Amino acid sequence: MRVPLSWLKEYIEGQIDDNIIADSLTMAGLEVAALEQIDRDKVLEIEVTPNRSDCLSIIGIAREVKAIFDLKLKEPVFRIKKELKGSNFNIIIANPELCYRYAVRIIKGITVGPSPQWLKERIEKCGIRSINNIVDITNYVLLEYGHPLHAFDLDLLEGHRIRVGTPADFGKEDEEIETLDGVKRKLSKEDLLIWDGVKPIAIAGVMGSANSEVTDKTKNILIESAYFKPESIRRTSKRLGLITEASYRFERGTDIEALKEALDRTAFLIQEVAGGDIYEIIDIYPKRIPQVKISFNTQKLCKFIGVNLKDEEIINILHRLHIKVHKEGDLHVAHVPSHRQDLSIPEDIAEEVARIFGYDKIPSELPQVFKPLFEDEEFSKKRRFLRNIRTFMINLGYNEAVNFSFMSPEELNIFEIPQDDIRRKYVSLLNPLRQEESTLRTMLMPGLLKNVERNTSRGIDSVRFFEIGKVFFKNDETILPKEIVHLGLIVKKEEDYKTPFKEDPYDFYALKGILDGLFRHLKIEKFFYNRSEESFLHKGQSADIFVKGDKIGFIGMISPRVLSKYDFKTKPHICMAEINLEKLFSIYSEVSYITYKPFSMYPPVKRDTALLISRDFEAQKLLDLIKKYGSDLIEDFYIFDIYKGKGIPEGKQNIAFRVIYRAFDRTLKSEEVTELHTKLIEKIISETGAEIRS
Amino acid sequence: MEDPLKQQFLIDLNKIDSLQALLNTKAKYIGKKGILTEKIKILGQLPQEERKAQGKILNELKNFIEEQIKNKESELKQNQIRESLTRDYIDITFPGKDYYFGGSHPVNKTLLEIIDIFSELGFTIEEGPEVELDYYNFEALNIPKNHPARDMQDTFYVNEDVVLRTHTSPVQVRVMEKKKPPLRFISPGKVYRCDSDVTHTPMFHQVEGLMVDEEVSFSHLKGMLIYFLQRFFGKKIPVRFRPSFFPFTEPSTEIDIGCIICGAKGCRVCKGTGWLEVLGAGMVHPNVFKFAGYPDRKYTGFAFGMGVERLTMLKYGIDDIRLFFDNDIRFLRQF
Repeated sequence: MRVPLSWLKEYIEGQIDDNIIADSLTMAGLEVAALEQIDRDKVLEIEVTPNRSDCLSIIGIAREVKAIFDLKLKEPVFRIKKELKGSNFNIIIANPELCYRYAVRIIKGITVGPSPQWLKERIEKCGIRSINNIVDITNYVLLEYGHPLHAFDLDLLEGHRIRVGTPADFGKEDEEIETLDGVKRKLSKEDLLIWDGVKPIAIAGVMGSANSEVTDKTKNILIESAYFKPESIRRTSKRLGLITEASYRFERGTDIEALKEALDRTAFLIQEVAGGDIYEIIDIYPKRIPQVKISFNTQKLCKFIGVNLKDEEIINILHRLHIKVHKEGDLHVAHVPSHRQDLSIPEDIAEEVARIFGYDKIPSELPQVFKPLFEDEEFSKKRRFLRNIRTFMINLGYNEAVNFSFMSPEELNIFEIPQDDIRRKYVSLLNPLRQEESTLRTMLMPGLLKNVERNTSRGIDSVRFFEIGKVFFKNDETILPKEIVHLGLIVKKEEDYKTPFKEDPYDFYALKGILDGLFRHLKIEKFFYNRSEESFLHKGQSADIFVKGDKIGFIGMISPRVLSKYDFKTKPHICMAEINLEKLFSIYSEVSYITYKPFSMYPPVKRDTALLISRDFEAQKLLDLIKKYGSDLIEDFYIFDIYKGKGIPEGKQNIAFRVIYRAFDRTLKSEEVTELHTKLIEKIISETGAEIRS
Repeated sequence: MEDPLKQQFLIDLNKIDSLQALLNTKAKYIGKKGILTEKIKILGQLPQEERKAQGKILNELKNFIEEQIKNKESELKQNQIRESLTRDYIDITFPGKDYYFGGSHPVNKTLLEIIDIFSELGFTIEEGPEVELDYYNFEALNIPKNHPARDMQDTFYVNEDVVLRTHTSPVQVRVMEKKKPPLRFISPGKVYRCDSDVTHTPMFHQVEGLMVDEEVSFSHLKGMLIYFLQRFFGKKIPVRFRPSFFPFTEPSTEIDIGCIICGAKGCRVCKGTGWLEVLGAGMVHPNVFKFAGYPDRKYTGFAFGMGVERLTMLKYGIDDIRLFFDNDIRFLRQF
């Protein structure tokens, strides 16, 4: 709402400093978002909250200024000198549930023309375009009183009557109206319309029709001032996507009692600028809004706000707001004026008192005694679990990404997700902003991959990202989808990646090592990797991750086929992993408390062995065999070298591993270990067909 | 006269320049088949008198040799250490291996900071779904269908009854349905609005807070939130409370801090006002308690909500909200 200060001050008796008006309004809840200097006037841009429709007018703001500064209001003084009788016109409200009151005045013999300068200036300062003197006056009064008015060309109305109702009320299905903006609009049978004797002439409270528009040729007019049910206007305006100065106010609620005054004011001003004879008012008022009375306890009110105000102080503040108060036993009763439809409960009264008293004057207090509260244990544990993983990833050199929770179903096609895969059970939005964001994501990878693509296009060679976020699956049994927290990891380096060190923190094994490390960090032991079925991963370099026999995710190099669908100008190596953290958490939760195990103080004996073995032999089998060997004396074992190529026979690879033996209760003898180790090697050889490499 | 064997040994000892050579010399004289060892072995064939005298000499010589060898060994080892200290020299200015350079997302960093401050104040954490029923997102928060307050929020719809939550406030009612006062919790999370331009992203983060008990007042709301803002932005930050409107609180307030960009003098960020809006809050509307199933007017409480991106932008001087979801590594690495 734009409010020129010069106009505002016309309604206030007494002097106020221009410089403090803006600040005081802001601190009373009418935020002055901007202050614009136009000529010698200042225009306040006030953000009126949806509850304060009474402040969508100059007088409304003046009432507030008056209350804040405890001044007097100077309402417009005018008098219609002469009213003609016998307009021979009927008003029929067919739907009093949607139209509570409808009043009109007819003015005959006007001269339509440009508006006088003062009128033009005022409405234009408020952001309304000048059209002609008649329309401008209706807009002027709309700004002044906050009540929308509409002028029809009386001679274009047929049948000497106005009817108010929906198409349904008149036994019709739907209607079409060409509105004043020249657009033909389809109305539904529930939309409230204004009709003359034969045709619709306006969408009630929203916009008039071209068929009854006031033009230069207009001689006689009919001015409408009405009250329409806010919800009905809003529904129509929303559906048509048409918001006007009128609909904006009607849907927020107008002052039903003030509409007559606004109508008279309009007629009076039109006569001033355009001449003509004013006819008697026709005012049909079938449904009244009862006056609201609110009982409140002043002590409770003070305690609720945290202030110490005397009854008189409270009553004084309410009086300044035009709220009359009388005492009834222990309680006070507030009589809410018709322009304050937002007030209905004692808390509303508390707010009025608090904001006029001044929020800043309310003492601030920290409660000193807290009753202890406890978080749900499982939830608390999960929160720490997620925080733990996040810290773990950051400490390992990964950067945390946050992506929108959206994806495009097309991305599932690019990722070649099978039709019956759960990731196809996505949730679609009815009103997405863009096609690429039309569904909720069922995997994190497409988002992370796009991050990598974008960084690469900006010349960044190496990246490591992780994201912890929800994915969403449609659930046939429940209204709401399943929300599952996933961990996504992605690393990328360029083909020409160079490092002075041997280790490569961007390859498959680096990522796998991180997952292994994470599981161990979480004390989860029973995890293993199987060749992956995921079609978006490189068949030869990918694995599905299982914990306790349940698939919890995947890891692998991206398939070149998927990669080719993205816009990489370079040759990136991309490795990714995604893990269902809900599943991981449920396993983590089962891990019992750690109990200390004593360890041996005797020296270990190490044995290194190199085996020549078939090239497609998988290392895991070797590790499993050692594990299955089951000797209590084996403390640890690991592979320290794998080599294929020069010096190794075709179809073979060299695997070197170390086994560490240690007894709990004595120093092991060399011979004892040799015997044990020889037997182990023999067993491995017999089960795998390996040869010892000398 | 010196024993020729001893002289020979001393000559050999002098030539030794490695541990291996030392071992060889040791073997030559006192090893299993060493010269001295052999001599000692044949002592038994000598007559007793001579054996005794010769034995003494040979033993002394053996002790002498052993000591000399030991000294030499220690000398050689010292030399070796000295050499290795010079030889095994690395360029310590060479960069370390590229492992430990990860970063927190700034929004999550702020979220955790907020959680930590409220944890100190005895607040617990609660969570709710991001895909939410229209009922919890609007109706139970006193925002019926066809209410103008719905214009304040552009909503993504899944269907008529299901929306992407537009704020974290629905958690209020969800928690109150399950728990009785006293309540003191915050609820951080993602929220969605159908809006995308220079200053809006369709997804962002909020933290909702609720404190409900008997006799919680607007004064307490002020106390708690001033405490929070001063912990977050620094002790001296000016804070002001403006009346405002939210359908689910009454009275309602918006909270501004003195602009930290210009020191409250007025700049582009604070639009010349010297103030920055950072929080929305208010006393829980009795209708919300009613929706939660609490007895009428038994409890009072306050609720508040804040935009995490906004706080983060102010704290780090970030001027474009879209940077948060662009995930450029050069941005993320700064946090």
